Amino acid sequence: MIIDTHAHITGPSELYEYFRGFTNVSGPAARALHHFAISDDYLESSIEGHLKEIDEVGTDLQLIVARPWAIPTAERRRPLVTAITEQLNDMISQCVRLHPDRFIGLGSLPQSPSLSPKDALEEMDRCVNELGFVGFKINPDPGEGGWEAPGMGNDYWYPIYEKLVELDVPALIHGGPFRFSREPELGYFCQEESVAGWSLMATPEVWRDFPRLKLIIGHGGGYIPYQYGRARAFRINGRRSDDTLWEPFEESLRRLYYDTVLFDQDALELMLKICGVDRCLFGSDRPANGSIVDPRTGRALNDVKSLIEAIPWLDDQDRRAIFEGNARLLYPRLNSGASR
Amino acid sequence: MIIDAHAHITGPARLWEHFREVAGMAPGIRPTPLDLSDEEIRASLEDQIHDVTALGTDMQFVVGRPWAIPTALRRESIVMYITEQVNDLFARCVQLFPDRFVAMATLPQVVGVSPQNCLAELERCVNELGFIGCKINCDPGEGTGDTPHLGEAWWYPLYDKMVELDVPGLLHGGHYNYGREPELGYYPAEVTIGAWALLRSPRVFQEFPDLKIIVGHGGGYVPYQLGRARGFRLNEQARDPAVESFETSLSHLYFDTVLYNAESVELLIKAIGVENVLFGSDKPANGDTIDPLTGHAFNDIKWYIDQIPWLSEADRHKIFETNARRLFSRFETRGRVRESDDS
Repeated sequence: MIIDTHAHITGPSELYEYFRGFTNVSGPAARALHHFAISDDYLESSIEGHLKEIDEVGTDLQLIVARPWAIPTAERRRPLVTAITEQLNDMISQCVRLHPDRFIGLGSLPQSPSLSPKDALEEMDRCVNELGFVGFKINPDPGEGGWEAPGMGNDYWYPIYEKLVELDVPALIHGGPFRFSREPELGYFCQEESVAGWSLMATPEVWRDFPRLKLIIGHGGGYIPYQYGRARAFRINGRRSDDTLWEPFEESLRRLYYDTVLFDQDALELMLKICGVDRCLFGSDRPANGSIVDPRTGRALNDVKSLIEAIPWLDDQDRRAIFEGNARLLYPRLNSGASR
Repeated sequence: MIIDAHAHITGPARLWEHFREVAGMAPGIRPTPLDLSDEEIRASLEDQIHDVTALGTDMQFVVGRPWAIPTALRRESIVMYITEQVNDLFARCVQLFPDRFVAMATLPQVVGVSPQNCLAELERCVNELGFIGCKINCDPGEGTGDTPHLGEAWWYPLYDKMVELDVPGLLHGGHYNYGREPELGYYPAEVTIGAWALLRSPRVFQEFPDLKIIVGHGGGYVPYQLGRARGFRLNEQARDPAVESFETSLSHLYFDTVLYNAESVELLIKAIGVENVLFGSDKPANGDTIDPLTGHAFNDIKWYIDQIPWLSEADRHKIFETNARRLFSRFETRGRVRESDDS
């Protein structure tokens, strides 16, 4: 079975037009947000192309979450951010209900500089206990390139980590909108996910306090695997004699998980070698930008499965682990049937 | 010959104390340059020469440390003074060890100030001091949004002068007082932002076909996320077929090998191609530490390259020497400027 752990569903564009009608105005109009009902038929027609795309590349099951740009993190009005996030999670849940054999839900968190991680806990409970979701997406930079959010090693994030451990669900670290960033979209996600990873790996207290925390760095770990040597050297240079929690960088690296959203076989091989097969989960981010066909291969760039299958030094057991086994180990609720 | 195209020199420590003092001076006070002796400069270079020789490096292209220029200090005259002093120090290092060092210019970059202010110093470095390239800090705003990206015309005066003088520029971060990244990630991230900007703006190389840019630190993370970058260009081409191919855009950029593990160096050369990769070690620096897993210094990058089984001797020769000679056209004639000055 091929389980794709990194995928987004858009749903009908009217939903976002409806949200914009509230985020773009102030005053009484913004208080009138109510639940935007989407009929099953209409939702079905909006995801028809999505299903076709994943059929084409042989994906059996996708863990789906709202698009990264969908949560209005730049919005400072807490009720708006919260209500929009809930509706997006409801939309994801509706997709799962329509296609329980193809989709499993991951929850988005209500995040913005005016919300604290504590404000996400109620929605996290609802996503897992009521909607049957098996994990979450965390935006490490709700400040959108600004300075508002502390690094992910900071205890600012502890309420979310505590809840993740309590529910025994993993979270995918994934950037969101990026209005104030120097990075273009091309690099923003990779960069912010790396910033999050550097911070987590530089803070062994997080792992002491939450040994069962399960976090996945999206987009092939951003650029962490490529700058692995640099990170190892810095770790050794930065060692203090009184630092009882010090560990070599290669051990910190393996406290995290990585998905395979990389559109290049050589880069995938590097990630698998550096991070280890047991730390890598199949993810394709399909459909998205990568759905474009590469004229050199005649295949979509985000047909990541074909790239992994072409790696000569992986054996069948390795491939099964990447495509299915690691996801089942990491997401215990995937097997419980609670979500199906 | 092994040419290391990415290296810094620190020089005597009291020079940096002097600069810190200067940066804190009340406006209007003219600083008095330090009187550094040849012995002092020579002594400050001994360890560096010893260490790089031990790894087989013959020649280093050296430039000011990334933290040397206080880019966020909004006093242009102080930044200019420090930059001139740094470049003068480098000229003296080269004079003392002409067979070991060649210098690249450090530019007096200041947040919010047009790179126009760098042109006279670049000219002085090349025409009077015999320097052969320069270092470009693509983020003088130090992590703020205050600097236009490298694809914007704001940078054209500098590109114009680089082309006129035929000197390459090494993209390299500087200070990062306001960056979200830790030092570990800041340099790779910033050179990548610089490279993305150039890759996304084909106009730059259409207007400056002879511009030579080297992306430092193994290209930051460009080689690792190359598939993603190609995808963005393919989508752009689907909307507008006149846009040049990603491969064409990429072919304009050169990359150094400053990466501290063998797998990544191999990926870099595979992804970018032998022709566009230059040996660089950033030695001495953070990477001097011995890797307990290999017994080699992390920045013994020649050792990584020597192990790559699919590289031919001719390939290695290009990476270690001839690509640098081809790109830095002033390397061959570098001594003559100084000699003619003496006569």
